[in-house]
Amino acid sequence: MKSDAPSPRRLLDPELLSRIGSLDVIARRVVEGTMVGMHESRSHGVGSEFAQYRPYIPGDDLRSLDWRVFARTDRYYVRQYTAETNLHAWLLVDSSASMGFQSRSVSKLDVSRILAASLAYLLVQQGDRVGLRPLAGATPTDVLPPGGGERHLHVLLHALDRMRAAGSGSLVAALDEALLRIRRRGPLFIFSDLYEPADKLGDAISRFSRAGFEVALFHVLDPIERNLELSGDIEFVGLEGDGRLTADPRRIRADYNSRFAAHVDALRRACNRSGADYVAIDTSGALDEALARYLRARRARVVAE
Amino acid sequence: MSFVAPAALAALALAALPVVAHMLRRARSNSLAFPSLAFLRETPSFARALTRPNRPWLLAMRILVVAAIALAFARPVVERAADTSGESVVVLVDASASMSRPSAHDGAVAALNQLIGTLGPRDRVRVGTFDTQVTWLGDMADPSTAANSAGTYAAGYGDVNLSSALTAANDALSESAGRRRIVIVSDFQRSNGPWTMSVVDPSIQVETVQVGDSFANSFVSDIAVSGPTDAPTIQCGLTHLSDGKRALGVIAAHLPDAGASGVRMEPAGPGWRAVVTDADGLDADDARYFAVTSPRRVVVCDPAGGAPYLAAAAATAGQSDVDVVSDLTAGIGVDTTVALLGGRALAGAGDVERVRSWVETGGRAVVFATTRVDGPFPAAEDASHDIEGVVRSADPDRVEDPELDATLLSAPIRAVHTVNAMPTDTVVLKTLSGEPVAVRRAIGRGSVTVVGFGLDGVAAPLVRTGAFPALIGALVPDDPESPAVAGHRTRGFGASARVAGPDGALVPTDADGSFRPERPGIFTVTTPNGVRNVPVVVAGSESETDLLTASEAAALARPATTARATAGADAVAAFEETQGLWRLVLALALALALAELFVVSRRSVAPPPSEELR
Repeated sequence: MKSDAPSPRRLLDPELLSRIGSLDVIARRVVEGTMVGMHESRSHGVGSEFAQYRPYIPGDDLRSLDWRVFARTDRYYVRQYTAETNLHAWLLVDSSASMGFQSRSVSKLDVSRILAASLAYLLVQQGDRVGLRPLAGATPTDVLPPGGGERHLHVLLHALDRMRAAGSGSLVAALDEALLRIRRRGPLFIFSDLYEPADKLGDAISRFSRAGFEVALFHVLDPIERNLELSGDIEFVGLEGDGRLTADPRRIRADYNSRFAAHVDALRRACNRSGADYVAIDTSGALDEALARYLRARRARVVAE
Repeated sequence: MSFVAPAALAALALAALPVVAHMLRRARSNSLAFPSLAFLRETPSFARALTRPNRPWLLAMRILVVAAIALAFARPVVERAADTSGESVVVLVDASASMSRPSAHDGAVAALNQLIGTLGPRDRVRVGTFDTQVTWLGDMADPSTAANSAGTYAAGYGDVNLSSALTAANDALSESAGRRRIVIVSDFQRSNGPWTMSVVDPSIQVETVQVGDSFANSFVSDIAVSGPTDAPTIQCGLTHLSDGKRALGVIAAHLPDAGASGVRMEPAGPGWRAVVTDADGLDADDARYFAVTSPRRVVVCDPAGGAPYLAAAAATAGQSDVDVVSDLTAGIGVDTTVALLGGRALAGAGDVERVRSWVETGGRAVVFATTRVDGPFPAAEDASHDIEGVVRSADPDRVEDPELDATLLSAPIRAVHTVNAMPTDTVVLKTLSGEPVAVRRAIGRGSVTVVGFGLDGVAAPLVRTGAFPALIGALVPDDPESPAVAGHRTRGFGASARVAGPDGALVPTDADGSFRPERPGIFTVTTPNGVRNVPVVVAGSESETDLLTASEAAALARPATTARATAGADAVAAFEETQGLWRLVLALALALALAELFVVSRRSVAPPPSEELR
């Protein structure tokens, strides 16, 4: 694992933030909140601010009918409200040993920390609350409850900075644990290399979605993991204690790529089924572009809804 | 390029060792911590080792080092341009009896001329013929002189001793400088082996030139006799039809020191040995020997047409006391031996009675029967003891009994000779199983001997070596020490004996009248007591007709295998220079090997850091 972890400020790459800062983080779902923010709640009619009347459509909740208007006009109108609230977003970062793998200058955990910090910065700047929860390898004491403001952001960035890739554990179990601990619904940003069976991961994400969380799955991979571009006979030693084996990458590359692509496809399908976003991150690629691309797509999807 | 020690090239196989070592090293792979092994599959170690050697440049260098060491020990010699001092060549031409057949003789002469024609004026050549010994046709001389001496080449009568010939050729080249070569011109009869070149200096190149067409049969082997008077011990075999056309007789006598005689013997079933003859088989030419060997007056009766040849043969041999008749009406006396060529000789009216009466008065007759002998021969008291004779013929012109002929053709190997011998009869020839073939019966003062010979009147140029005279000597033992053997001294015929060779020329004698015949044939010994004919045979025998194949003959050739192949001052200097170079190569290779060994030993003390990921 890389020893010189990035400093908190260095995580907030100015160039990265300048390119992402013009974008608003628009949540696809408006969650319950106590603070008024710029995010539009999905629950029209249950908020505090009247928005509009619209004609009744069969199936609408009868409690939303405005009987006064009916008395005046003899027509059925439904009152609609727009709730202004803040988000309770969670950054779930996989800090197991496998995230320490790196074939270049940054490890997968480094990239995950940059992305998480960037998102945290944006969310805090927008007045949202952000929490941090390490997955698979960290201890519960490393959990940082959601908070807002510059001070909280500073604490969060320090927590990210202290994070080290070590240990092993089930990512699915860690997600299930998080589901039990996180009470308020909100955006959930998961950063991991996702070395778990795709069906189990899909089930875990589905449970989050059903609980009302908006899940974005950042699949962080090193280029070597994608294409196995290695030479010579290599004894592969599992970073999380899953044994060792010797192979000639040239001879097994085609098979590896095929099986890995099948795994990625299965993850992507599982996310689609659960309504979660799947974002593939290559540690050799431009992170700001990847993040910006994700946010643009996310906003477009919310607007469309 | 040649090698001083080509056996060292076997060490090139050691070049495989670095490959094996690299493959084994290959098994120790670099280690890499990897996030997950879920999508990886183990590659078999052997497959990994074969796929790609570790550090190819190091592997190549190690192979080169091993190869260089092997080559250095083999000591290559790079031959330079032809030596200006010329080449010394000894040509050995086979002069054994088999080389007298036209294709072999003419082929040898042509090969000889062609070879000499390819030599340059600075080359030296010596031509010799060989059978059991070498006869030089001249000294080492320039090619044109050698060509003249080679013109005297002629085949002889003996068989082959190649080792002695090669030894003589090696000696002839021992003093020669420059490139040296021995060329063997022969038909390469298989039994003339073993073909060992070990007596020849390795620096001398040996070439072989095979000449002569294959031939079905010409020579006899394995003839031996225990003694001319020990007739019952003479063994004989059984003839058969060699090619379905030739009438053959029965003969397979083992005669000691007898040479080729135009027949060869083969196993023909239990207890039998077949004598195979062909156009060169026993024939009227052999009868000539019989005729001239007998000290008696000979009357040859051959009504079938062989007489002119016999007469000519007899005249050639200078035997004036041979009469050739077509029937037996001519007078015969007590001192006459009658050679009856074929049973038909007795077919004339009164022939049998005439012979009977003649024999009873002391005459001696030998019947060579090719057709049925209509006995009885001079009968004894009991007709059941008659000698029936021999029937053999497949020649349509000679067969008088088609039924019998058909029987013979259907049973080519057959005992057709039935002898109901009387106790007083002498079995002259018998088969290996003991069945009599030739029997002599005393009748009155004389005797009749019946032998199952085929006597077809076909000239046989190769039948000249005296096996038949040896047999005749056994059948008609007038001279108990006959025949003599060419190259060996005969018994003494007395101080006054005068000896003439087959060509009529006088032969030097010792004080006791003995002489050393140098060639086979009938020698005439004249003493105050009369004229005696001494048959001379050659020792040994030519072999069977089996020749080496062309590839086998070519395989006998051998290149010069040492540096003296490029002998001469310049060549020797070049050789030494080359060897110095290879010694340097050897030293460098060994130094490289030691250097690597040193490096490896140091690495074993302090293992290197682990390899980088890529």
